[in-house]
Amino acid sequence: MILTRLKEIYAFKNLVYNLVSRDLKVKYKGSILGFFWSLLNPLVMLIVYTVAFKYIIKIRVENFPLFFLCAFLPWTFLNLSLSMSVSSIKDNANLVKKVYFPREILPLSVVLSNLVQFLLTFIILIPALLLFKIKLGFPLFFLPIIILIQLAFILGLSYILASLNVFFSDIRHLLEIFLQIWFWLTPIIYPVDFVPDRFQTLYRLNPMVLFVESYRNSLLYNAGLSGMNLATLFCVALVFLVLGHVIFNSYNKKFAEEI
Amino acid sequence: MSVIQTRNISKKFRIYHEKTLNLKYAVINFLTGKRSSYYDEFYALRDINLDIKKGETVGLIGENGSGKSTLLKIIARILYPDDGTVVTSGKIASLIEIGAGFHSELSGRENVYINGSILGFTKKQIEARLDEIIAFSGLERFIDNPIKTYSSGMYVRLGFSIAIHVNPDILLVDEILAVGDENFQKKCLQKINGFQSEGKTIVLVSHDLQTVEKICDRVYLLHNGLLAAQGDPVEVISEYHRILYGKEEITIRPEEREPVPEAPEVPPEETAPPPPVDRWGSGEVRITRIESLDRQDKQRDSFRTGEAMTIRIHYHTDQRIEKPVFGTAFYRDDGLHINGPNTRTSGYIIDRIQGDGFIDYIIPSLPLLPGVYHLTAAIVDFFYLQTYDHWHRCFRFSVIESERIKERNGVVFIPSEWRHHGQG
Repeated sequence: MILTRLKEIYAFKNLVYNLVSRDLKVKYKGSILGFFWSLLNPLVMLIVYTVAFKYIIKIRVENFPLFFLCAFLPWTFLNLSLSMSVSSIKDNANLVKKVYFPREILPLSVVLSNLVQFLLTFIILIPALLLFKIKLGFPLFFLPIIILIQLAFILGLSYILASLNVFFSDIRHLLEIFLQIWFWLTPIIYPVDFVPDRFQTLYRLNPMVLFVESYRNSLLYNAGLSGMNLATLFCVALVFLVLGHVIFNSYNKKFAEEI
Repeated sequence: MSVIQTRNISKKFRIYHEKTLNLKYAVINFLTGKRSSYYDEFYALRDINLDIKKGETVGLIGENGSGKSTLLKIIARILYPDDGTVVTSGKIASLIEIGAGFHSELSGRENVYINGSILGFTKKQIEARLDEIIAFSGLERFIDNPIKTYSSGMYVRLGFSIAIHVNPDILLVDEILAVGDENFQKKCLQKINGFQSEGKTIVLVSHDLQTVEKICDRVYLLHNGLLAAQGDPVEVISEYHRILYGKEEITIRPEEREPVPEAPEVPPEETAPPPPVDRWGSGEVRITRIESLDRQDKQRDSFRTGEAMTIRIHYHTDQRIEKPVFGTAFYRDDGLHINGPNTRTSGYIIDRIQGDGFIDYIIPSLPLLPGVYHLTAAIVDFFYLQTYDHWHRCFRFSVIESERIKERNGVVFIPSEWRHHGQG
């Protein structure tokens, strides 16, 4: 079942490619700064949060700007992917109603386009790390694995959100609020150990905590990655991906008539 | 060998009272255990069986809302049936929407790539056809401009050119042959002919019956979600005309799908003057035909209460007949005798007749309430002593509810009004 769907999606790989490149092209077409716009947003946030937390609240974290970026960039990948893919089926009603193609392609291409932009932000992140004389080493090789796992996790969530949103348009609004809360529940602008010990177990149920830790270990701290973390994340991502597939396919057949 | 085979396909649609189903409803309905209070269901298709063979060109015709586009979308896998199975073999391309996924900011060329990939092309396939597609559209000069600068005609031509260059085994076409100018249409038909000679299977939904008749090998007629007829295009199209025509009289209100029970649909075979089994008379004058006509002198088998109706009795006589009396009588189908007027009692004296002619019994406003009625027609001499020809209850018509007159009980509508006197 999953295999036949994958085959079907693969047959339309050219559509995925075109949707992703259309998305990127349209985004930057006609603007002078082009692609740099997508770097501008993290840079602005970097300045805002650095001023606010390092100089006003005086949080005690070494290399705060880098500490922030290593978490904020993966967070942005998740944040934008979810908030864009949630309406991906609905926004393409004219396609879904008129043409056959595997519907998974719609959230998939949104997520992939965000992945491309996420990868491009490494263009500033890596030089910044070097500039601040952060020692990069062997743990960097785990980076692609972490990104892949996060991609699977986001994809699974996107399938669920996009298909539910067809039937319940409130999902999109709920997601907005939920993402705000999720941002503060993820150690983006504070370290994990700021959370009191008695809440740690509960706190670590948030997969993004483990993702952020893994990203920081690999990029910033040159520290060995916890195999336990990676294995847990892998399982979580797999569960969401399968769940997403099941939910998506059980609603799939009703998309064209419900939107 | 069938390349498209459907077995007992049924499709239900929901009509929501609320525009969007929201969480609030879902939660309330879940908690109260109540379901489906916010929508109605109706059948768009019921028990459809199709067998379309390789190389056939098949037309699907029917009125708006008959389910033909729904059926096409089910074959195209855009919609899925609630019941029944669809088996298809070979690559399907559906030309249901022109320019699906076109993006106005991008150039015509870029949009060819995107639209092509939506139709399932690989990049290589698009590149191989790119020149041909652009040439077919006739947009060589504009192909690198963003399509937001295109006129709607250019837009459609580009979309159609891409769609028509898909090289499928089965081509599904919905009502899009009617685009562009005459020259462009001719090119499209040539392309379709090309498909046919290559042995491809084509399924066509169209209102353009001339085209359907010209290019289809076989036609399916859908009516109210049911398969009403299938076979030779000429025959099925004339059946369609009959249904279209019949619907005029039978359907009461457009939103009602079923004829009201008071006006059961009279099968067409029975509405033509049936052989008069109950007939007697000496035969000096013979009734040749009875018609029931509407205001436009068109033969109709059903009328609305309050409508104008004319009973026309045709006769033939070889002799000269002095002072004949023409009469008619109305019966309800349960035998109730309603009236029995004739020309003499109405004071309408006909001096003599000879040869062929007809007499009209003109009812400016039909007072009968919905139901099925029988008619008697007779010609007698002035003193009612001799019956020349008598057709007893051998003509049948139905009366259906009108917009204006809502009465249901009894037999006739008596023009009247109500007035109330008393203390409020």
